[in-house]
Amino acid sequence: MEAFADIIYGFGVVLQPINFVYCFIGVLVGTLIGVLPGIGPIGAMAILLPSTYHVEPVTGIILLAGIYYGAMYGGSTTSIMVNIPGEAASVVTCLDGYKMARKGRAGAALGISAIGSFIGGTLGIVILMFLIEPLAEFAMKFGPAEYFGIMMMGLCLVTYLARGSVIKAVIMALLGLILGCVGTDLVEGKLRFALGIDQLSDGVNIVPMVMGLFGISEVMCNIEESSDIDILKTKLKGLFPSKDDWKRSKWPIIRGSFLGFALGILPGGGSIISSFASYTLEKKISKHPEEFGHGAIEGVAGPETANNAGTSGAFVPLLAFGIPPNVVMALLLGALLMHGVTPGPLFYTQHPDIFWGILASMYVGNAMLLVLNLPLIPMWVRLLKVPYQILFPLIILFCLIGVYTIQNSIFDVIVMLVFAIFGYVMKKYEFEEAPLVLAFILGPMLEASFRQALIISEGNLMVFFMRPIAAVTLIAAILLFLSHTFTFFRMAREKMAQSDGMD
Amino acid sequence: MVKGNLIISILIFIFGTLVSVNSYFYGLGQLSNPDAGTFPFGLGILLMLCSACLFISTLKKLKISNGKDIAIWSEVNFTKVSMIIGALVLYILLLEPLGFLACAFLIQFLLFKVAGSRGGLSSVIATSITIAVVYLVFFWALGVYVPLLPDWIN
Repeated sequence: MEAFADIIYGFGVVLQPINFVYCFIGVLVGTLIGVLPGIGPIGAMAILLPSTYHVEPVTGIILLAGIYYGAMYGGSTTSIMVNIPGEAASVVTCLDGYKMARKGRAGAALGISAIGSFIGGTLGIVILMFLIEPLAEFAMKFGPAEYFGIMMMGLCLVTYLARGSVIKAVIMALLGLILGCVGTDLVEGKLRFALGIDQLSDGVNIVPMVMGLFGISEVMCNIEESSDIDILKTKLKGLFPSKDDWKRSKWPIIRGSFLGFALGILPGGGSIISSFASYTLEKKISKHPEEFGHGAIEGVAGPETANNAGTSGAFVPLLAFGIPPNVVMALLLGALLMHGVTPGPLFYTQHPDIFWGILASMYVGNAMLLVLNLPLIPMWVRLLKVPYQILFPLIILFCLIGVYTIQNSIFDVIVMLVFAIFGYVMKKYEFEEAPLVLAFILGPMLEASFRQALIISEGNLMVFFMRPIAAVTLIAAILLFLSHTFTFFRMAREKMAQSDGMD
Repeated sequence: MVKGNLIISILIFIFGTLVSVNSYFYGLGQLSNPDAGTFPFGLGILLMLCSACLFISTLKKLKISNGKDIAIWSEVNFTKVSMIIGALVLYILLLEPLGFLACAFLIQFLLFKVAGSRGGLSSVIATSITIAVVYLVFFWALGVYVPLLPDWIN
């Protein structure tokens, strides 16, 4: 009952005119970003982050959160109409959504995608609402050793789930941790790796780094491809699913909601893993698995629901523990810290207006997205015809404006350029950026926890294994890392054996 | 790409060595009271190990593929990429002397040319509309600050 009273308080916060308007702007921009390939929610959030400085923290976070889950809605439109995912979590929707569109069922695909996303997002928020308080109370038992264990597990999961080479993901994570050491040491106040540059005394700023890695370097990669997008020419009719569509979709939607939320909580999880897992599950338990990949509506309903539920799940570790599970949450953490707000176990008691305001805004935002996405689908489809050659100069200009306004310093623009070139080269050699950014955010907290744990235990390394939560998380991290390392060596030996056999 | 991985692993190894060496001078402290250099020292060592693993695995891949490699730079449009980098460098150099409006106009015009716009007039019109929209959205509506005019005019 207390949760209901709190959420009504939250609605009181979000229905203030400025918060309502920012929520609308966030979901609109998010949908636009999701529809248009070429820039993802991370780049968009980084660009708009400086514009949140002169508003209240709750207003800024409502805007940024709206971009995140709005992009999940928008990404399905390009997946279904163009067979190009608008953002990574909509990759799976291409498999069956586009096939449905080719069969003249684009309307049903878009409709079930929007409705499933709404149900998944809303159910995710309901679960979040009831889960956050007990989790925050549990987190109060955490000390430095436990935080160290959880963050290590998070970093290991992010590298384990890397799409490419694990060793490259580990290298990027280590580089991110080292970048996090630049600036003033949190424990002793010593200046490290500043290279004599005054602007580095507070460390590398995350916004120019993310803009360079995810914004500018993405543009540099995309500009090499000059192909025009070929939009499927089909009449959009019957946006509301039929009775049979509902019958086939209702259980994938329910399963997708819970699965997506659970996977969203995991570090490195979020929407991408949620959507893939849901598709795999639906295909496995379907009575007609042969239909998957050829226009099965379950292949759209489940993943689209899961990816939105995953966005709600991703808020759990951030709000309850103050630990971001993915790069998007890392940006939100950065935004909260910039406003002087530290998420964690005491967050919802010390800042109830921000906490419940964010949760309530997610309800309001999901409702707005359903209204935006169903009747406005033809408009979003028309936007897809805007050539990338017009979009990319705008993306670069927005990045240049956004990055300068952080500290009115040209140094931040230089940092963005350096990371843009770095990100571009690393992309070419298949090094992923996400482990670097997540490690960069977690690095200072990880180091502080490590050192504090050792100081408290007077140098006894066993402190990490004597406390149960720390022990479980660290052992899980080590096993995860070792299992993948052994797989890696086994695969390498198999390849060598094949090569010797062929000789 | 495989040969590029060899170069990158060597560069990362060197970087890891530099990090470890510098961290040593920040002080390692003791286990009961780690100093500022402890954490980055360990990270530098780990980085050196991982880059060595990457180097070895890359050599093995090269052996398996009998020296065949994937060419990743042969199809890159260096002109377009260089022009984007050049535009950003120009922005860095000219923002404060020229102010945002003139500088952004110049950069946008260049980027539309990179995008393949042939007509000078159409690029000028597109650039003018872009700058006007950006001014309205960012400076008028959102109230962000960038020096619109050069210092010597202000």
